[in-house]
Amino acid sequence: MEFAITTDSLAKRFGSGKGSVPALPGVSISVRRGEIYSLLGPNGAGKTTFIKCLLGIVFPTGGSGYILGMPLASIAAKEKIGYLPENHKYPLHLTGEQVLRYFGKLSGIENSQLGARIDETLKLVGMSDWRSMKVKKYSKGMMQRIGLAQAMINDPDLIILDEPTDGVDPVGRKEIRDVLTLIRDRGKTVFLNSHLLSEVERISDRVAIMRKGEVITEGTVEMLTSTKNQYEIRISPDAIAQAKEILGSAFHRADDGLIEAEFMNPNDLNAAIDTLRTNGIAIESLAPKKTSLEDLFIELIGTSDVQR
Amino acid sequence: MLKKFIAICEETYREALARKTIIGYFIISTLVILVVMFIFMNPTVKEQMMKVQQYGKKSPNMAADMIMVKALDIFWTVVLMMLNFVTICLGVFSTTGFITSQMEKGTIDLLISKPVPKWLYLLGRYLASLTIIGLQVTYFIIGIWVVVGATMGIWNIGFLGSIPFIVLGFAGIYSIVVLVSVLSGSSALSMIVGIGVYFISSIVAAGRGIAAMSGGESKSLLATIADVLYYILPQTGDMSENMKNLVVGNAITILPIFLIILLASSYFMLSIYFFNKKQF
Repeated sequence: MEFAITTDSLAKRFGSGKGSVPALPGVSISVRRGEIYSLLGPNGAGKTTFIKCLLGIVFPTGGSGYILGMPLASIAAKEKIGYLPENHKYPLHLTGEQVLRYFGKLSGIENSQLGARIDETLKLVGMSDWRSMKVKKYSKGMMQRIGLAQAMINDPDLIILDEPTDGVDPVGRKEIRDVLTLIRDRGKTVFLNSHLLSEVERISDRVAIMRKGEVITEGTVEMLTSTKNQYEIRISPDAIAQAKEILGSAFHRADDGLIEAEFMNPNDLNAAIDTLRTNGIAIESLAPKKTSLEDLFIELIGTSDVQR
Repeated sequence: MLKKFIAICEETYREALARKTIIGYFIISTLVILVVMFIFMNPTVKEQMMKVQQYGKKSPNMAADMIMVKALDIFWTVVLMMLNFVTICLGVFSTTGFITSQMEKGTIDLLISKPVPKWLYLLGRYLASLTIIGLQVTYFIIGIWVVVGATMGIWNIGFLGSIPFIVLGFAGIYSIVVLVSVLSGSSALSMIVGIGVYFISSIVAAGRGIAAMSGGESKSLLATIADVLYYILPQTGDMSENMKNLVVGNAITILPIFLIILLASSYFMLSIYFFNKKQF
């Protein structure tokens, strides 16, 4: 399988000697081509440091990694990358179009293609009408959009986005999500760094959760949010008491006709369903119980870390 | 690579225009040129200056006339010294931001993420700044030269020749400003150091000149320090001396030209070295 990003124990310490601080003890991840991969974690978890290591903004102190099969931070790799940093700043005297022109030229786009790329990316992020306005007059949401356009100006194979929906209103966030999905559908890879869990849950193919510089869990959203052996059974609210008695220790809790129950194996589940039906309780729905990414995040990180 | 370099230079010019320093300099230059024009068009001044010329041609060996003949040379020299001072000070103030604005969080991350070697950003900004200062100086000097030439009929080519010396002096000082900007990321500190170095190098040049005239055999500690400073700081004093020599028609000294180019290059290479090592 081809990977867009692979790192093997990528480490970063700030400072030297006894006073050095381990920002990343050693991160090993593999991001597949054509997926939206999200890195989650509380503030100070090392997400931005990890991205900076990938791009050569800071230098790793250990481990190794490749981007699109090329060494980290190499010029060749950067030609195929688009990056939107957190709190990005553009020269305030430039218009949105001039920003794209400048960074497009730095990305090595030929002058003959630049105009078309600018038109396309501005249209994609819904900024065509404000292309001639100076960026100093842009709202936070507009800055994020022009930043996204800047990251896409060179039609990169890999887009790295650090908090792309930060400060954007719900409508803007949805539009950015749509753009990212569109990019993914075009075969590009999106590496997303965000603390907006609901956003991540909606668009990510795979997610990694980081704490104190280490990836503590990784997988598809489906896999991470599924709960093993736990099911949700919807019945009539009037039959809850009877169902509780029938299910016995398998019963966990019930809320307005929705029962949460745990069974050791599918046979136990089927037997329980049969018993409920035999006792005249109609099953309205049955599904494996899912947790939200937010619940999982809080469970893994701990409330104190989240609040920090 | 060339296209990326040009893009960086273009952006520097746009930033300079946006900061309005170029426009400010051109407005001030134009005002000074106009003032000089009005002075030289004044009939009394014109008459006196023509007299100077006539005396100079007829009896250049007479002491009194020699003073008169020197009047124009003094005028050119004073204009050049003032211009040199103003250019370096204003130049440092107006161009330091071109380097430090690149170092700001949120900007530098973006720049480094692009497929551009780090040194190209510094080189583009440095050379673009030099061309901005060069253009400003050229405009001012040619303006004064044309005004004096047209009103008095005196076309001192040596005055024009001072343009590269002013730019070289600035290039030397600016290379130190770039180094401090890279190391500290602070505009204020870089400007203070730049202007400070300019004053120290001028004092060192003056001190060495006095020491050379006094012709002492043994060197004092102060003279040794001055010598060391002379070789590690840009030779702006010598550039001024060369300008004066050009104006009065004397030979210029070549060594300081090589020295200042060497120093500016060395400081600039050092800036690149630290910029490449720096993490953001």
